[in-house]
Amino acid sequence: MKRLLGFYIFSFITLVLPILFPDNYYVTVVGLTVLINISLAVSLNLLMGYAGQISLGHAAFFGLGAYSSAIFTIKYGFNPWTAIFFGLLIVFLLSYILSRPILKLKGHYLAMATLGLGIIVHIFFVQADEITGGPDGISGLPTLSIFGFPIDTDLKWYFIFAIFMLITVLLSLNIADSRAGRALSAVHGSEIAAQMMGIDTAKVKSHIFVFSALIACIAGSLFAHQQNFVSPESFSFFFSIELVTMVVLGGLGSTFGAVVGAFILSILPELLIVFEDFEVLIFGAILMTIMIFLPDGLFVAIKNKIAFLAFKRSQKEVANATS
Amino acid sequence: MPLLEVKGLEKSFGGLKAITDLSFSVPEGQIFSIIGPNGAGKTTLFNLLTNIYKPTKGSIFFNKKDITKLPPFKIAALGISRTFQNLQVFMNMNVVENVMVGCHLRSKSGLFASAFRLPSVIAEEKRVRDMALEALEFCGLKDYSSQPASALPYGILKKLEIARALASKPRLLLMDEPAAGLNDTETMELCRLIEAIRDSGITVLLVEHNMGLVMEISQTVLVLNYGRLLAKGSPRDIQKNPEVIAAYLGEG
Amino acid sequence: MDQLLQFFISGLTVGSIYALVALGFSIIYNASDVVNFAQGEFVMIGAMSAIFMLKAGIPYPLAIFLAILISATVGLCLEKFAIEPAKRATVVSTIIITIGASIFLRGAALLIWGKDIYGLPPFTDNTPIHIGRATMLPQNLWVMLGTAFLVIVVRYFFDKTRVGKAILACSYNKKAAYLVGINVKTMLLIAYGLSAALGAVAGVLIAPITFMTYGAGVMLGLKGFCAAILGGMGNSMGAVLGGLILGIVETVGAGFISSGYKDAIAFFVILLVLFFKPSGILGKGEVERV
Repeated sequence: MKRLLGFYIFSFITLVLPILFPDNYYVTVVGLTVLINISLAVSLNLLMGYAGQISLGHAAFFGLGAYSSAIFTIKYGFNPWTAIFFGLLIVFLLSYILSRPILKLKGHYLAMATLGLGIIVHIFFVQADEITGGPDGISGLPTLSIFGFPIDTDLKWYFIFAIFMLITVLLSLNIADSRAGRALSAVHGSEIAAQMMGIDTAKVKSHIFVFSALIACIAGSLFAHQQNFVSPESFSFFFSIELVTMVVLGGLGSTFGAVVGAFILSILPELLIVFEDFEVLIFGAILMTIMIFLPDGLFVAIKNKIAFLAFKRSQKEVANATS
Repeated sequence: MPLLEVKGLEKSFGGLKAITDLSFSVPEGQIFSIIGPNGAGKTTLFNLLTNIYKPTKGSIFFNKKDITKLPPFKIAALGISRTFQNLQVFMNMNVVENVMVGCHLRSKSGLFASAFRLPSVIAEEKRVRDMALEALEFCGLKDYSSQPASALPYGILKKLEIARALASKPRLLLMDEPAAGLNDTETMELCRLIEAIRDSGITVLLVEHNMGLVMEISQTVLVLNYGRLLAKGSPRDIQKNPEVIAAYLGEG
Repeated sequence: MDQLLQFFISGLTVGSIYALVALGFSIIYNASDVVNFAQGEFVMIGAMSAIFMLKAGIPYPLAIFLAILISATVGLCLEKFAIEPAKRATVVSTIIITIGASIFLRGAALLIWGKDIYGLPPFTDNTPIHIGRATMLPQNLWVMLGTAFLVIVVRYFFDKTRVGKAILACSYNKKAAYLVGINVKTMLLIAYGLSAALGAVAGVLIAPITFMTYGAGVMLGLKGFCAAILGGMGNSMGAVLGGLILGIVETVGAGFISSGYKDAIAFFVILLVLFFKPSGILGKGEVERV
């Protein structure tokens, strides 16, 4: 109970918001973006924050999920759920085959490889127009139904996205406190020591890469159905960078850090609308400033500060008790 | 029957030979020390034994099994663990979590089971924590268990590495300069700890510069010089060996 | 055959630009272990500044000179205000800081110069030169010769001058360099300034051939990074070689497959290099120390 207290509070807030404000633009429109971005940031954090492996190409898997849903339902007439399954299969195979050679690399080599992967996939979306519809994308996805209930309003989509996001968060929290999570942290802390403790580091990294890609893939499919159409620009290199920024902004390695980072970065454009052309500039400035002055991220920095204060208070109490 | 057997081991970096034609065997149940002047190849030897470096020539047998080409994690699975000269503590975790990583080989939940927190995971989690606390207690670190590793002093971190290695229940423990940077009291404690480890049935292979410690607790001492075996014997023999004295006084 | 020659000429031209960007990359990487993702923005800033000063009536040569100066100043500022204050930076955080810087500079360029596409007039009379059935513009020659000249100058700077050698010393061992009396901070500043200036020259050279926008630096920067890896990270002559090879491979590949896949070909090549020989053509393997 105590382990997941934060999660229960968070779930409560997420699910009560649309009941209180069912017609609020920020809940049912911006909220959808927030929810999907949280799922993506949390999944990227598994790889970047837990295992310490940077990825500048996460948007590729998000895009592959979205395009699979669009292509298999519209071009080949499959049922949406079958299409989602095909998407998962494709992403599973691709990420599994690529994971070992890619994750053998470290630091900027890894950054380059994941970035290259993201760019290649994006170029494929733009160029292979017989399959992907080219720069215009594909529109007219069928409505997704769950047990015969069509998901056809923004409010219904809110709940679907929210449940998916909460599952992602829960899985991520579970992994943190487990043998698998510790193995990932060990890889992050010292790969050589991890190997000496019997951890097959290549396997561990490969598994989390695939896992994180699969979550992004499902997010992509849901996103495509909700939007009703897909186009390449949602899955570009810049979106990958944005996801990295979310994770870093909240604090690498913390699930709720990723949640906070994704939340801030998703509503930021709404708040910056008044600044219009300044948006890019401000975005870059935030990214730099956070990394220079708060390399642990906003959420983690605040959490550490609170823990530190609590520690000092307990020290004081000990001192008082002994004197 | 030796536990570890090294045959004709050689390692060169570029043209430079760090280890030359080295053969020796370590009997089970001993504290077996490797000494030698700086640059004699002691740490390189450890890195070869755990296959962090690939040997240029020669072979290594552990418990009669050829481990020369096995990756480090498989070597660990056979029962070899080690500590490091430059600390390799997981600074992103707290003390007990560090040691719980040491229990990796004695537990088995995978990513999928962990993510969905299946009942087996919950039971195993408790078991692993107990094992880790046991190892911490053995090393006298129980009070630190919930502290973040990054906040601890050097001496404690050195012990933490030992606890982590012990948590994997190895048959052979390689310790790379455990006394470096410790004060006299800490060194004394370390002596007792290493002996306790040996008495619990774990063979200890020790690289150390502190001669007092080596001569006090070792059964066998092996002297390396320029990557070659210079002498091997009981501490008493080694202390009297003229070649060893010459190497240490720098006459080469 | 003629077609191949034509590809070769275009490839060598664009490859020269990649080579200059990659050279800038490796100067910064060598001096500070930072992979600078804002390298492409130096190219863009150089080209855009020259374009707008020329528009404002400043004579061409002076405009070029000032553009290089502006870009170098941006480079100095990047080191001073973004790299130097980040003391605890890991590889991942420096990557993110420079990505942030690149977005920031792009945002600034967007505000100053807007979204429109601009070009520079060629340096000299641009009558095409015919080689067999292939053609070549004098500006192509400018790019190639300009690059060759700069590579020689940079080589000379690091091999023969005191400052160049001091920067190299910082790259081998900062503490030791400091102890022998080298002002490490200044050397880093010089390295960033120099690297940005090289980028600006690349921008000015290429702007008469391709067009420039506020966002044009992104791809050029990434390609330069590819070139640096292809040649062997940290090896400056490798970077130049990598740039030329990358330029030719992608142009020839685009010519035979489809021009839309030009960038994909470049990144595909880099993935192969990373998978099979991450140390690049001229790089050495590294040994991890425990």
